Amino acid sequence: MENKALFKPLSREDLIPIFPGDSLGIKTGAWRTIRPVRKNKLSPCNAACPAGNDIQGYIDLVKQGKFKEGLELVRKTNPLPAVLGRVCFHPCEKNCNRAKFDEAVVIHNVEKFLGDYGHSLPREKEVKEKREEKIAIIGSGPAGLSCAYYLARIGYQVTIFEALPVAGGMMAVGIPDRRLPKDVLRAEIKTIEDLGVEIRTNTPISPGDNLLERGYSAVFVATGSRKSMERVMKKAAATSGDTDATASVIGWAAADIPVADPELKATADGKLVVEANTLATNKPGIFAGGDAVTGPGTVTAAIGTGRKASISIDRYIRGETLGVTEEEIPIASFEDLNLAYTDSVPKAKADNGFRQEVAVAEAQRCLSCGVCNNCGNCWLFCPDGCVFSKNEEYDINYEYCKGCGICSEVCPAGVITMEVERI
Amino acid sequence: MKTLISMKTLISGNYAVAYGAKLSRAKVIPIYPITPQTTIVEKLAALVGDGELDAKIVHVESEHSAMAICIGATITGTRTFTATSSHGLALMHELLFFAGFGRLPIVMVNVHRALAPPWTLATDQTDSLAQRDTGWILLECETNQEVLDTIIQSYRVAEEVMLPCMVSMDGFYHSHAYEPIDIPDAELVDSYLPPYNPPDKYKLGSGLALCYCSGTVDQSLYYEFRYHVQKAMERVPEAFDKAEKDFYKLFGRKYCAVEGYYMDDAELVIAVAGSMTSMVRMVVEDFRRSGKKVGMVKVKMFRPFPKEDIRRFLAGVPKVAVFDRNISMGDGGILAQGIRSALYSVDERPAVFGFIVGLGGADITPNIIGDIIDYAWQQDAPKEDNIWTEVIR
Repeated sequence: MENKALFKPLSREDLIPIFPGDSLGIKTGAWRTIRPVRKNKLSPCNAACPAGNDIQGYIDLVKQGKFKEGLELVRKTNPLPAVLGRVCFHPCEKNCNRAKFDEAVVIHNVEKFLGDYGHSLPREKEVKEKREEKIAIIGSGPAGLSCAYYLARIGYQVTIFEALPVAGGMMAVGIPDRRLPKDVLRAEIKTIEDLGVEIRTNTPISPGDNLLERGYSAVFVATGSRKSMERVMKKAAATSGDTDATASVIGWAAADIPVADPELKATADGKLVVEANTLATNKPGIFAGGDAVTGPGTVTAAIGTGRKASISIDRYIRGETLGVTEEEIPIASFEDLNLAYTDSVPKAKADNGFRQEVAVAEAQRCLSCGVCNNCGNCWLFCPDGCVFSKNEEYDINYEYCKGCGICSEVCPAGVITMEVERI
Repeated sequence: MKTLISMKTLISGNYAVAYGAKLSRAKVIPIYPITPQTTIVEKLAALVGDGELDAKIVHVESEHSAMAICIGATITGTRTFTATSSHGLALMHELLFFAGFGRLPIVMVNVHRALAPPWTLATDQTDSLAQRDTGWILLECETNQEVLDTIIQSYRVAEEVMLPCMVSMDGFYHSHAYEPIDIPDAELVDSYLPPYNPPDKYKLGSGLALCYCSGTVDQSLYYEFRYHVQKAMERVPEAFDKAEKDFYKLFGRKYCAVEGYYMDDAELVIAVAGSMTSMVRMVVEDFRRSGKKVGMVKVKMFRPFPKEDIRRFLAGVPKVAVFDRNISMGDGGILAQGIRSALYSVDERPAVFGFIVGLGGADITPNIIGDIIDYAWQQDAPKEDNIWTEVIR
């Protein structure tokens, strides 16, 4: 019998197995069981900031020499960067991941640089739309100034009533000149006044003043804490004549902390009670924050509550639901980072001027924990060319990504995590 | 026609390689240095630097990348050249298949060096012969003149049958030895070797996408592609013969896939390849003078294995002593393997003695060669498949 399987004629034409064309028809992404997910985490500095500053963000801008943009980003959450750069107790630095590598980034000096840089620029009065509503703020401390700044920026007519002859609250009377020079504070307050905020000094407010009936749509009580004032007075007495600032406080001793409206709910030791998320008191239209609510606290925390109050007041006036819901974002830990690409660099010496180049050098030490800073490692190392750059941001082509995980491994900032593919 | 007489130049084997690549007008040369090949890289770089060679030398981080670039550049219709040795060649292994099965006419020089461990820089043929199943034409050379000439001829053969070609030479015995070399006239070489004319589908600017791939195929198509590689291999002897004849006309030199030496009435024939061939020639002459009918075949082509030539020379010869400066572990000398296989279908089969000689560059002296001939002369048939020889320290 003839064996038909053998000596079958094959094609006569010589075949070469390489063709013009591409292999894009083979969607290798289907082979993937785990996928890289690019999702920024919260830098530990940002997580620790009581004012909610985007520290990683503005440091990244300083790194790129974009000082104006950096300043604008700071001011989104902190109207007084020159002050906070000097007086904040910087929990950001205590939580900085870099401390576990060599030394923490000297964040406050970068912030101070940005604040001072802002005062070196010509004044900008950039309120886009004016609103009719008037807002009253009692107290020109950090909480009051912060609230005023953010409300003024979105067009509200803001008036601050200050019992003392100077604006600034504890910043003016409680912090010695060597830590916070008065001209720096004055410059910061001037920035806020330039937005149209009126500060009436020597104008204590009593419960009978009834601001809501005098044409103000909302009131923010930021009168500070009696305890703080007592502490300042004691200290001033002990070091009497030490500096002009503390000396003048003695003269103000008569000016009492304004007595809060008795209709407002308060604790036994005189702290106002507010709803934590909205800073609303028991009386509609009246909000409170800063030391008046917390007792003696920090300038930074007070600035944070001032901004929070501004959001609540705006929503109250617009008739929207109060309360800010914040997304839970995981914090980038030291273990999330890949430091193979980082050299040990000592922190910049903090001099008084903290010159621009020193600020940039210090900003360059930032590891950008959990936040993509477009270093391009993922793009460079992807063996399948599946990481691409679009609109200055990197993204992953899941049609072809096989889920090898190299991008996740080489990401210095811990932005890319591998997640099990859901089928 | 230009004169065949020219002034010879005293250069090393590695420089002869560089001139071979230059005269072949290789355009892309991705290359990574490794002893004993390094001075090839240096000379090529100098030729390009001096403006004598119009080529792009690509600095790569490994031989794997060097071959990958050869592959990419060749696909787009560019003539490429590279050179390596031993471990560098071993690192290329994966891509050698791609070049061979992909039918890409790359020409590469391999400077033989024995593989570690233990480490040595000296020669043996195992490095390239271990690559004998990758679809490359494998050629061995006896002299540095032959190395230079073979490079030029290889492009002719490779581009005709569409297979890559590896030209091997011995480390140090060739690479660092100086020989008076006739460097052929460039215009004559141009008339012998026209620019690479790739298949139409590989031509740049042919309106096709500037992207090439090798897709995944089913079993039947894969099988068919392998058939065509083998068929291309089978066309090599004829293409090689034609390339040699044309070369001889212009340059007066000819080497042959298998060369016979004192083969008339030879009773014992030595089969040999590489640099040791010259020494064997000399000893054969001595034996002939003393009346012993000893002959020699020099095997230049290892893949495709020139079975027809082997049969033509060795059928009817009483004894063949094969010198293998290489070993396929678990079998034996690779040349002996091929010769035994080729002669199996012959009625009058010689007794084939397989000698393992000169591994790792060990010296093969006239005395050793003489002793081997005397040994084989006295025995009717080999007592073992692989006979190991004394090593001179």
